Amino acid sequence: MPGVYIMAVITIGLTAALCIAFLKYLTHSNRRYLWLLLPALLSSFIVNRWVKTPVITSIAAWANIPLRLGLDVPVWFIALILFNSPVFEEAIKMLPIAFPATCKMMNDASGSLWTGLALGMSFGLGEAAYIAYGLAQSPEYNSLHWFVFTGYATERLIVTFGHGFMTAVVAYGFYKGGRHALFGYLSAVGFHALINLGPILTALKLTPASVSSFGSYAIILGAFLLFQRYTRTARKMSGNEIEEIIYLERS
Amino acid sequence: MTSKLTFKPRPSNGWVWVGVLGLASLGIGLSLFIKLGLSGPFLVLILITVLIGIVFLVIAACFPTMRYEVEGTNLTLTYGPLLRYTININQIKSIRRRDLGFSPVSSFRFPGLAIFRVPYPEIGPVKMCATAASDGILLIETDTEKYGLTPADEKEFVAELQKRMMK
Repeated sequence: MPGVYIMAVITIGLTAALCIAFLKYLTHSNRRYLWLLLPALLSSFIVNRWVKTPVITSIAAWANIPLRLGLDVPVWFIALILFNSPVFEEAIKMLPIAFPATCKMMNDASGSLWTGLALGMSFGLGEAAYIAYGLAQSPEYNSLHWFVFTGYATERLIVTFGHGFMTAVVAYGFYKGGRHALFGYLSAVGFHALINLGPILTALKLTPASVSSFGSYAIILGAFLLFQRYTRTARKMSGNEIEEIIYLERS
Repeated sequence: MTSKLTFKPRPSNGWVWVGVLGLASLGIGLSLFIKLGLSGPFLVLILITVLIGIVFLVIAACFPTMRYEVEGTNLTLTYGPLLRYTININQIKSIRRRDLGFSPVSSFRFPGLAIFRVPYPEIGPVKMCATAASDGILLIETDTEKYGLTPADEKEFVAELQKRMMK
């Protein structure tokens, strides 16, 4: 068995445990939101196999451009590769809200944030499995021991949370409705594209891998800060501001 | 008024999180050790994962020893041999119960367990000895520090502190 599968089991298990812990923490142990860690698990497989790959392959064939990243490739095609994942992934992560049971959970501002967070994390967990599957198919990687995939483990752990924060931004926009829905979606696409920019620049040999990883993690931290800001606003909107009982106060 | 009274914390499953993470870390470290021995480039990783695993398991094992002891004018928060905060009851400025927010800064905080110094976005660092990380934390503030607790019988605990305060 390829070593990456062992690391994938450890990574997905640990990441899922942390996602559950984080969701329980935020939702005050409301178990309804934990179920949302399931519906988007297969979304990464679906969007990669049947949407992103066919789209980019067809455009490359139509424009007669080799399907690879290089400085000889037209800029518009590199931009297309950059936005291919963000545009489709941010959309598919929100698909489960089409179901009435999920949609009902978005009936207040906080609920929309927790729903988006859980759906994004669900996508991230599925993506970790899909990437492990991809690595296992590569002759360069499939004979390596499981413990050399620590980079995969840390990256997937952080990116899973990143997916959660970005989808929460989209869901919050959907909850507010109108132009906010479009703004939320475009914000998430923007964050996602910036996260992917580093690896693309590395593939083009324009930045070292360490700089690109650092940049991507900094963007995920930015998405977290926006999520936290929305959380504070949502609590105020929902009237769930921090309740306080003062037992004693003296000067 | 000098008698010693012991208060237990609210029940929680916080130890499970710490125990599972400890077992996972120890498992990874030991399987690397079995596979590679103590030589080679993974030596540091093996030592770190085994150490983290052992520390987490010790912390999980100490969970039932968390308690709050009131003796004379001192309140002592203990978590086995790992943590001991002593508060002079007469120096307490305020006692309040509230929910606390989440900070991305690293600290020892899980659902159902928060110990040592934990930073909170609204109120800054709090010395925690509690079976919750955010919900219904009893905050005790002195001139210099803030402490976070979760006594099972909160009202009786607060009443006992108030009885022992200098009027």
